[in-house]
Amino acid sequence: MAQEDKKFEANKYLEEGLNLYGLGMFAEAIEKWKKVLEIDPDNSAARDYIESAGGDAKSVPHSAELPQQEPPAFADSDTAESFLREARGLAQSGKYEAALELLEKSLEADPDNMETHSLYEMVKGKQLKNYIKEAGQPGRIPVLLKRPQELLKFNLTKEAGFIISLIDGQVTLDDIVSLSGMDKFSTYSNLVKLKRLGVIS
Amino acid sequence: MGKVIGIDLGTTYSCVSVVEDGRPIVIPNKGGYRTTPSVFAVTDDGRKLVGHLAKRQAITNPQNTIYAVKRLIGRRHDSPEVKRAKETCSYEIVNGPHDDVRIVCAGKTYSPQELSAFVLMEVKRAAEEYLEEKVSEAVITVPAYFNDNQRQATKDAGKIADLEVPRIINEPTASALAYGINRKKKDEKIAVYDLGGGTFDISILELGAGVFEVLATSGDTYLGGEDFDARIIDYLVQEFYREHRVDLKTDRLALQRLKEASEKAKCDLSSLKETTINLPFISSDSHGPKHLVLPFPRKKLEMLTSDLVDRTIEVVKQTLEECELATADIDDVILVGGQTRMPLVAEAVGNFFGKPPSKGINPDEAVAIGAAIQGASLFQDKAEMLLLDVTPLSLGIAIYGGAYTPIIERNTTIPVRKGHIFTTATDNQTAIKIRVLQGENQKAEENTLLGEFILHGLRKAKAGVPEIEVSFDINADGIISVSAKDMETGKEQAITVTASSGLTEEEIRKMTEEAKIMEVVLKE
Repeated sequence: MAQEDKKFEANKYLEEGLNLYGLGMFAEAIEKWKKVLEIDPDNSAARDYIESAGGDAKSVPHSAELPQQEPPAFADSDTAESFLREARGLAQSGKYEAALELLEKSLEADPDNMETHSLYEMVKGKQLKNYIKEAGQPGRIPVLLKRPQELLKFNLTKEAGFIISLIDGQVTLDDIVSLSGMDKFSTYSNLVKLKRLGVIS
Repeated sequence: MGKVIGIDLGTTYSCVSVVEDGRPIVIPNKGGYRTTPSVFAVTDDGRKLVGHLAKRQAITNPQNTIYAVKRLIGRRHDSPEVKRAKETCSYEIVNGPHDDVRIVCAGKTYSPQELSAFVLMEVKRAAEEYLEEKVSEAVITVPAYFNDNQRQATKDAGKIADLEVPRIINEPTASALAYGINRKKKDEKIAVYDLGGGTFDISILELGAGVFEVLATSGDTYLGGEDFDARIIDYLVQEFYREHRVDLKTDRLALQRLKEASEKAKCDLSSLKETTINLPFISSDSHGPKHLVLPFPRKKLEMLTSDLVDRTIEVVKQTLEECELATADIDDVILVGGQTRMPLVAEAVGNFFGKPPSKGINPDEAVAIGAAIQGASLFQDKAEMLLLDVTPLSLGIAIYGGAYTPIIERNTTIPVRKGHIFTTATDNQTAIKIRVLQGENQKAEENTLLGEFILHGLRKAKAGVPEIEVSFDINADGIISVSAKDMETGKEQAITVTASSGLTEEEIRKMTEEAKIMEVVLKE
């Protein structure tokens, strides 16, 4: 984003935060001002506002404290092969989740490798069984354990967000699989992730 | 004999009611909701859903989620309404074996009657669970403009759902019954303003001598609460884009959440001045999650949708003009349909008629309650029966030049027999073709063709000389017989017209059997 655009965006959030603050919506206002700090970590006005609304601006690092971004990993057929090798070993020892992560990296580097594809599907199938076991009986009704404001602290994907939106105290795990619009594996992996985070029961 | 339930089989939602100890009650479904979405779906894993669950995955599974079947039931495949539905629906509509409509869902073809039956089965089951007894009879409501074929198709849907339908009644009439207008001593003219989820109907009724006469009915079959929701969704999408430069319209998961949140916000604003739309994690990218948190005041909703309300008022105005009535002639105004909860709607209707609309009955339950009252009255003595059966639309024949002559006017109580003398249009004409039509349009082609036959053997004569009596006879079961008789020779031809839903008896029987198998897998 160009410097001018960043300034414009930051000012926009600053103003929106003030409007929300004026409406008494302090938590929402703090979120807006935190967005300002994401764009401009040294914006003192946003820091002051957050503190005065009862938020914690100190937890948001200044630009000097931010870690330097690592350069992207270089991927080629050799790295694809080494990922595949490592994944095979993990799969053999039953560490399917870790194996899947490496297989995805391997496929990124070498998308046409049929061996990787077939191993990926096989490991996915095994991990799905684990997920289903971990999630509980299909007829079980999951319960949301966090309040809306608490949820915002988590770094969740939109898919996880969608699954949370389906939980209403009536739908079962089986229903969620039918309603999610995702494949069974993605639905269960998100459900288990939310369960592990303590977001749902 | 068990209780007769009343069912409002709506375009977007359905509702069931029953009279218990002399009082009508609305029966909630298994989820505790008092209305059930008229939606059927088959999921990727082959699961069949009806009601709320089906609705909650409508956007993420558009091809296999079937909604608004009421717009198609009893219609011919080549009708303008079906053509429009084909342009707007996310599911596939195909030609049926009798030029009727069929809908493809997850590779299987269903008739609109079957799909409606799935919804009827769902509300029937809720009633059976509540009453703890088997339910086998239901009064079902239909829009006042439904022709005989659409009414018959609705009855067939009942049959497939294993329900006998002793009476089909008009929705505005049911609403008036729910408000007890039939109990008033004097005759009245009532306006029923019905803004539901998918359609808008305005009906002007006149109550007299046990009959609710439909003086006029009009509306828009593509205007309802869902259009209000769509306006909110568009606004939210725009706001989110302005803030995050992310287009939520391209994301089905986000759209499904936006749809539910819009509907909820709209309902909240019926009683609150302001609400907040809060959709955490509506989007996410490599920078992390993005949330949609937006204060949404009632004023904003009104600003976004006031033109839709204006459109309905314009239709009301035209309808009154058509039946040559002024607002002062209307004794009572009734609001029906969930969208009328919106204060702006009630205010606009009140301002137009110069009187506040009647309140007291939940607008999305009034129709079902009226149907239940009618259902309960079927047990009473004939003299106390609430309503008399009337012809919903005029019946007549096509005449020379493409015009249409009604012989039995709409709202005529049945049984009835009426005739009219016609003559030949050209010299030496020896045969005439009788085309039996139903409808109100002066042009023959704009009305529904019920059947046709030819009367041969007329004596050759100058045009206008022969006298041919055309008679219509409707018996108590609604079966129409039409005859044409040459008054000079006594030669006669006749046909019997029975309304057709587009399904044969064999097809209905087969669908009833299949629906029974379905029942064990349906779930709210």
